[in-house]
Amino acid sequence: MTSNQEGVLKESGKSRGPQCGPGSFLILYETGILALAAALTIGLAAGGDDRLARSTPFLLTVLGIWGLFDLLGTLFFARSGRRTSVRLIGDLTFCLCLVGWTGGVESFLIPILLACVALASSQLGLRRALFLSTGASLVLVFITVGRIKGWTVTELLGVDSEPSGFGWQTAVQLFGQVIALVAVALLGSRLGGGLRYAERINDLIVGAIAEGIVIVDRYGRIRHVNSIARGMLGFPGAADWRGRSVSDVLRRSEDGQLRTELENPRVGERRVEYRVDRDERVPLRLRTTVAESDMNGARTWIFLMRDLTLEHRVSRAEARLEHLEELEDLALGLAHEIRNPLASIRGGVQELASGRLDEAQSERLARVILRESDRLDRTVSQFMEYSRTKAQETTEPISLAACLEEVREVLVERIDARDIEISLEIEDGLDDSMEGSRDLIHKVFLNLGINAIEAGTRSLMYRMGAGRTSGIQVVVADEGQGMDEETRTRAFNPFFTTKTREGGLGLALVRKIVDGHRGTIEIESEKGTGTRMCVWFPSEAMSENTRPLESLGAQQ
Amino acid sequence: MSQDKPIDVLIADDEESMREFLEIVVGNEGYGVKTVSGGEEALEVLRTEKPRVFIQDLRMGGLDGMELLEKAKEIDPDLPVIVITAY
Repeated sequence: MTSNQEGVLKESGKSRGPQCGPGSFLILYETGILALAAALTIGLAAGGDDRLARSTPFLLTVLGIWGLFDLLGTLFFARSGRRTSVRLIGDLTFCLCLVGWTGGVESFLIPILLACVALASSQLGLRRALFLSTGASLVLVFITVGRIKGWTVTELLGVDSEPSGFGWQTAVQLFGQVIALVAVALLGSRLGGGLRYAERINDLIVGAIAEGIVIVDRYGRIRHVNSIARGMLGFPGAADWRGRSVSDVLRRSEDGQLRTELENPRVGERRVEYRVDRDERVPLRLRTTVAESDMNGARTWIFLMRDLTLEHRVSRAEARLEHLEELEDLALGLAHEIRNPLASIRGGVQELASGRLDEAQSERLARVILRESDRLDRTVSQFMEYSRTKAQETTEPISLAACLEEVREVLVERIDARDIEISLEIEDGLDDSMEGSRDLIHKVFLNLGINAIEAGTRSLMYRMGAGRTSGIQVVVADEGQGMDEETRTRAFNPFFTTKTREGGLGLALVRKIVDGHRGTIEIESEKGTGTRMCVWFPSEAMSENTRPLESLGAQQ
Repeated sequence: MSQDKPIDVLIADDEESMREFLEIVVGNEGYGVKTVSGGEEALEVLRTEKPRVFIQDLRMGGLDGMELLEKAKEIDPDLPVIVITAY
């Protein structure tokens, strides 16, 4: 904000009366009329016109006072309905006097009269506007006729008599002016009515919306604020804030964050914490949009506020529940993984001890027992690795492309990948930087690769590109056996087993790490056609705005 | 596993070690044993080779254990079935 704008903000913050729009218009118009009256008086006096001497000084004084009151009324009582009608009638009388004084039907001030009627009608209903224009027309006719006939009444009012015949030219002129007055009154009333209707609808909508709304004009003045927004900010019964500046309403030092957002608005969505009082903090989601005026490009800012307290509580409870469910799955899976080999080992040892087996069978059984013991050991190691892995250990800027290249090099060296074509494709000009743990991201893509190799693929492709709307997406595609729907939905569960593979934690670990990096992972697969693992990570710039990452591990 | 003897016992389990263990133990008792790793395969053997006893795991990938039991009983209602599970 420039210093100039700040000055405007302060100044307008002090005068709480007028609004932008019709209010400023009225002031301009009132000032214009008063200036005109002053100019006429001075002009006539300077020109030594004897008309000034003849016209009653009393009349001038009355007009002056009336105009002054008018201006004061506009400045300080603009929002009071009664005051507005009084002021309108005053304006009109004033205008008619000026018109009469400067030549009635031939007056050069007729346009001012028309403007006055239009403005008055815009604030009145249709019937009142017609009544007003009819009244003005009658006065105009009266003045014109009085001028021509040389009536004393009109002379007393300061109207110069010019006795002459009532020609057809004057009649046509008068008729035209009356028609113009009525037309202008109709138009003004119609436009004003439409505007008021739109405003009322607008107020209703703003009032009915369940979110808090604050509308701020380009000078930082509040144009609208609904009761919900006031309630959220801890002013449930506060007076109308319209016309007050943001800095005036949010003046505590604790309001700084919200005040800054409202005074230096940026389109978009932000989270703001607002402190209602010493004990209560409200997390707010602030959505900012801007409406630009067609006329002068003036920007009006609309802020939608949502209290996230409840949502936060619900999501915390949900997370805890989800975590417990995961823990249960993990415990059950672990039990299953231990019991299965244990059953073979126990039975095997029992059978060996019975001494009923011949040597060849004993040897074979011993091998089974050894294999199952190894399996138990692997299970425990895997479990410990899974549990110890924090969702994010150290955060550093990573180049995802370099990471994928490393993974590819490791995979190519594997014996079981000898006949598999492993390729890496990176979209041109992609910003592959992200924030996270290098080792863990490495593990994600290594595990996905091993998984594909174990699914019997002939080719393995890592394809990296920009995410559909944002972030970075890596697709790991294989031509292995694929997964059916059940396998797809349960693939990430800890110790989930397919009949061909030992139940493991590889994919569960992958998901845990991806979750910890605020990413997502999805499986696209069909039985027999291969699998595509789609991993998405937010890019570096995005992750700066996210909340601190929490560990999702089983140790919580 | 191909056996010379006619099949007395069919074992269905997706755990390789359990299959091997049962095969050794049951085979040692002098019975002809065949092992399979899945439900569909087991049904095929039940239909074609008519074993005298069927030992099946309750939890296997693919066909669910209870479903397998029902289908086995449809093929031969008098077939003795032993259901085993690690749970």
